[in-house]
Amino acid sequence: MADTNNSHEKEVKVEDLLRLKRAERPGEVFWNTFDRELHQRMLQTLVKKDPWYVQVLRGVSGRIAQTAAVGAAAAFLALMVMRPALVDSTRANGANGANLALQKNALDLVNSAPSVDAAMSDLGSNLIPDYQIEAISGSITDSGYANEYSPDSFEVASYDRDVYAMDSVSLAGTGLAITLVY
Amino acid sequence: MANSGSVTKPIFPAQEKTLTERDLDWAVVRKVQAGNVGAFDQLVQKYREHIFSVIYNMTSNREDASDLTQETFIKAFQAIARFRGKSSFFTWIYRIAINHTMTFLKKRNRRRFISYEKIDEEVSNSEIFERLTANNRSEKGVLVSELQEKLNDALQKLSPKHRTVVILHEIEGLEHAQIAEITKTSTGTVRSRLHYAKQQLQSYLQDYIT
Repeated sequence: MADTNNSHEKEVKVEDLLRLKRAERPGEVFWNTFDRELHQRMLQTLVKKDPWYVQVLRGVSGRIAQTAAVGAAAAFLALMVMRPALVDSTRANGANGANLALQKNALDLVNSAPSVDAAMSDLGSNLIPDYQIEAISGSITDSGYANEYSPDSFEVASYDRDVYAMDSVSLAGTGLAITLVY
Repeated sequence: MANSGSVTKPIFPAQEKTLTERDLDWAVVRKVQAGNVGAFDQLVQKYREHIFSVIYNMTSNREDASDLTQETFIKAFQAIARFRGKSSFFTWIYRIAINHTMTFLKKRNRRRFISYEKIDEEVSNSEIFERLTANNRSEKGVLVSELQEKLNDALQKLSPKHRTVVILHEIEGLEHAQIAEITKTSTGTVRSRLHYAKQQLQSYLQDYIT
């Protein structure tokens, strides 16, 4: 039994060998040099400038952040200014709906009514001859001018507006409005 | 060395004591974070030998180990403002050291320049050496340098992951849980790697194992 214990004590295991590696230690001279070098390198890192690409990146990211902040502030301001107007327009949508209905009715009337030519011929034959044609847009020859500044509406004829009922039809987007007299 | 007490004593004590160490380290870290840069030197003095030992055994090159240890402390110093104390400082600095060394080893690839540290003279008088010389015909001095070479060679044959676990457990004396925290693995993985690594080492060093 004692022999067995002795033989166990004399055994060398991997763990024993590995623990020997703890003895591979540098001496005092090494650590003095190490400390000196480390302090020097730490000081260098404190004063060392970043590489150019890091500086550029930082500048760009700073600029982006600044622009984003200004943009966000402007958007917020615009929203605060526009909000009452948007609320009003929402309210007005109901009224616009009524206007649209009226315009639709008028358009129907236009479709069902005699054409402008017919109206003109009626004017010539049936009405009192003191009617005067006030404006006809056909006189505009310059096409650019006509495109930009062609009148939104023209009156075919006018006479005593209180006597004649008038309906106005405007065709959104075409820049054309027709005033009908009947 | 009459007894191997100074060599085999655990480098890191049990968990309860580590908690105290953790508090002490955290107090120093807070000082550094508050602007007392000089306080960082206390952490360097406390951990430099352990960090050097890990890196040296990982690389088997004293010059590389010296450089990498310095770089580890520089990295820690640069990042200390972001250290929030979720883990202990020692876990954190060990993790930096191991990650940095792993990156270095990947870059170094197959090129290996061996440069050994001098073995403490005490070791040749240790009980283990007495046993080794009893089983070996070589002269003690020859045996020391021969064994050093064989040990380093065997460690370098292990994969870096297995090597890390062996070094941290058998040389640094860390517990499985501490190694798991440092390497961000489970204790099961640590045990498994340790078991495999020891098997490998046993076959490489069978001439010295009785």
